[in-house]
Amino acid sequence: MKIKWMMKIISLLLCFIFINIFLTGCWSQRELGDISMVTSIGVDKIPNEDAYLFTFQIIIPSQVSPVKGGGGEQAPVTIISQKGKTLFEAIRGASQKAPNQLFFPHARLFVFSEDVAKDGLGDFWDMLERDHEIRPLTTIFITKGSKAKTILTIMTPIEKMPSDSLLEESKLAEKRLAFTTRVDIDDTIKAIATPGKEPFMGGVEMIGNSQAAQADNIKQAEPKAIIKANAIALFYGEKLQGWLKDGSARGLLWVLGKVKSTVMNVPCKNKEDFINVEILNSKAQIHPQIKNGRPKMQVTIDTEASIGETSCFIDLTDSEEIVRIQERVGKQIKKEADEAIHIAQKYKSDVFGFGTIIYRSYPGEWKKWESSWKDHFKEMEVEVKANVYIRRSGLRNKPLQNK
Amino acid sequence: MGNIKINTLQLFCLIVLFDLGTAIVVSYGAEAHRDAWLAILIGGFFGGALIFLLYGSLYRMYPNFSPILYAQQIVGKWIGWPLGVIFVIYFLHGATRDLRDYGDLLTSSMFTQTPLFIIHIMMILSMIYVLYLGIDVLARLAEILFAILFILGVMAVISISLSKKIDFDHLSPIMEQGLTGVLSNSFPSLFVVPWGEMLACTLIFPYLNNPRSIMKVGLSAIFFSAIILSFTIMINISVLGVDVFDRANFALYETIRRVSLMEFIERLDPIVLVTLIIGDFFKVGIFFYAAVIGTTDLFKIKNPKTLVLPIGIIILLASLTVSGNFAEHVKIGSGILPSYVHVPISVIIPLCLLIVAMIRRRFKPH
Repeated sequence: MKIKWMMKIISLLLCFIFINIFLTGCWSQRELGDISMVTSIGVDKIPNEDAYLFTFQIIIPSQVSPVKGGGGEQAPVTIISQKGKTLFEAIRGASQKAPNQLFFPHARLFVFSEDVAKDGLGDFWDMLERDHEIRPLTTIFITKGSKAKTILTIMTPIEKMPSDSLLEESKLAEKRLAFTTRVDIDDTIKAIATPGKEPFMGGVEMIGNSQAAQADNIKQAEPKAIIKANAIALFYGEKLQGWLKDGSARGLLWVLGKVKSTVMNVPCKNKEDFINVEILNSKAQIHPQIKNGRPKMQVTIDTEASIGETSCFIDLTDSEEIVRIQERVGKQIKKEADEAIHIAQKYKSDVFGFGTIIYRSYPGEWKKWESSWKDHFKEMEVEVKANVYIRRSGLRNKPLQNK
Repeated sequence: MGNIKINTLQLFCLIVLFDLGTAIVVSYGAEAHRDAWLAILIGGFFGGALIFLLYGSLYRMYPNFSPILYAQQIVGKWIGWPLGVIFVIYFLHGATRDLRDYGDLLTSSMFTQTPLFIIHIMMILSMIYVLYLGIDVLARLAEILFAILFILGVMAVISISLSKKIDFDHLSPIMEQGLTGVLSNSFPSLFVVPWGEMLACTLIFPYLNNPRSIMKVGLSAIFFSAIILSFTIMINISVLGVDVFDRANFALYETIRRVSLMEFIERLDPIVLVTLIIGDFFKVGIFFYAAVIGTTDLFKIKNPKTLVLPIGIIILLASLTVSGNFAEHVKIGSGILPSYVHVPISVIIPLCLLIVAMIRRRFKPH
């Protein structure tokens, strides 16, 4: 009796000890104090060397957290630069310069410099796909005219973390102005792998004096340098071909139906004043056709808009007037879309995915054109139609008359 | 075996969880590329159903015996006993491979620095405990986990759709190579995996409290899992695109990684890991149990529970040596196994048994 009871106690104790071992946590756990969280990664070319310069932007938690008394003059992030032939190599090399292990799951941004993109980004895709710490939703930007390291070093006034600032900025630019777009690793890999489609990425530019724009950047009201997200980079395969800026960038987004909201200026009758029309949403439909054995695309863009601001006198109660304004806006949209198509065709870069649409609707024909699609794309006839529907005119109908 | 009984709902859940197993998280059907979802439906509705009709008919003829026992009844001891050995080895191999699948997937996605042994031992230990308690415990567990899995699945589908990552254009052009293309790519692998592996489930049929309903339960379980698998693969391809789907080791995981709701709800990876754990638990568990009962039948052992621990250890150790690396594992699984192992053992042998049994019946009217 007694032994049985003892055995029970002992086996219960053993159970508890055993379960405890399993409850203590992961095998390869890493404490928060042991890691350095990387928020963005920049890649630059090193002239005359067969290696890249990788820059890692790391958060300093004490400077970012509101509780632990940030105080002081230290910047919220720090950067580590490391040379390497591949990203993996550089990450390990950077361990010589960092007190903690670099931790990538929070890296939301990749910035490649224009030089690297022109040479080709093919070297990087495998690591970005294969590694389990790098997330497929990480946004990619190409810098125009400056080094990626510079972009990552600029401190930003409104958002504490520069990478957040850049991401939010481009998101806003995409949503409110449509001069750029946010593209992530997933989109890019799908574009490369899908026949008949080329990748494109958002572009950023630094305006101002970068030398003065380090920690001092946020010490006064007007920063010495800012990052502007205002372009779209066109690729053919892995190599950067050219840029779409401002209106033509928006043209690409018109055709893809990705314009969410933007502002269009159309001239008044007197050609001196302008009417601002606010676009509320837009859709695009692309119809493929085969004409005379050659591919042809018909793009129809439908948008809804409202009058934002007018500097000339027009009678907005007159529906004919509204129709005329609609037509003018439509013409402008068509112009931007045509421009985007024209530039893309010049670079033989089918970022619109016209090839894929042909593939999906006419797989037989596609087989004929697949291998030389870039030439077919260049010569392709694309007809753009833009329909604008102005529904409202704000809080007033007729503008204030100048006496 | 005693008087343990399981009801039809439990059997349904067991079969469905067994079929979904690992297939739901990997690129199942990648042989058919873009039309994988269609190939799965065809494989399940035709291959799976036919195979089940086979097993169900054999069960109806011998409702209280496992295949190991009725093989001996049908073709005699000298052929039947070695067939039984083949079956048991088949089950052990299935358990080993599936455990290894599970370990490989976990270590390549989340627990990269954890040794394989640790992950395997966690799974096997819990399985040993459950099976020691009996098949009815496993069956009740199946009911609960089925509900949990279903809820997880619904959550996953909702969050994927809300992330606007689904693009059904990725599925077109449908049947680019025509129906023959789809079928030639998927035969025989999609017709026998995982349907042929259900041979292990037949060891559980004798516990069913309502033998007459076996066809209803089994066929509905197969149709249900085929539809779920097809739907999941369809969503995977719509989100990832064919290229990434073909090349990914762990397709459902990749799909969930791309979920981002309002930039707040992200990293829903655990949904997939739990799905894998539940599915694989039943796959390995049922193979394991089949091996135990099969061995008990072969050697006329009084108490099957004594075999649970030894067979568990065998499976654990074997799972570490079954393949040298992941590439070998996949090559064996998709290249060699379906044609040379699954078809003969899970289709041809039972078919022959059925034919012989029917012939014998005809000559011996009772």
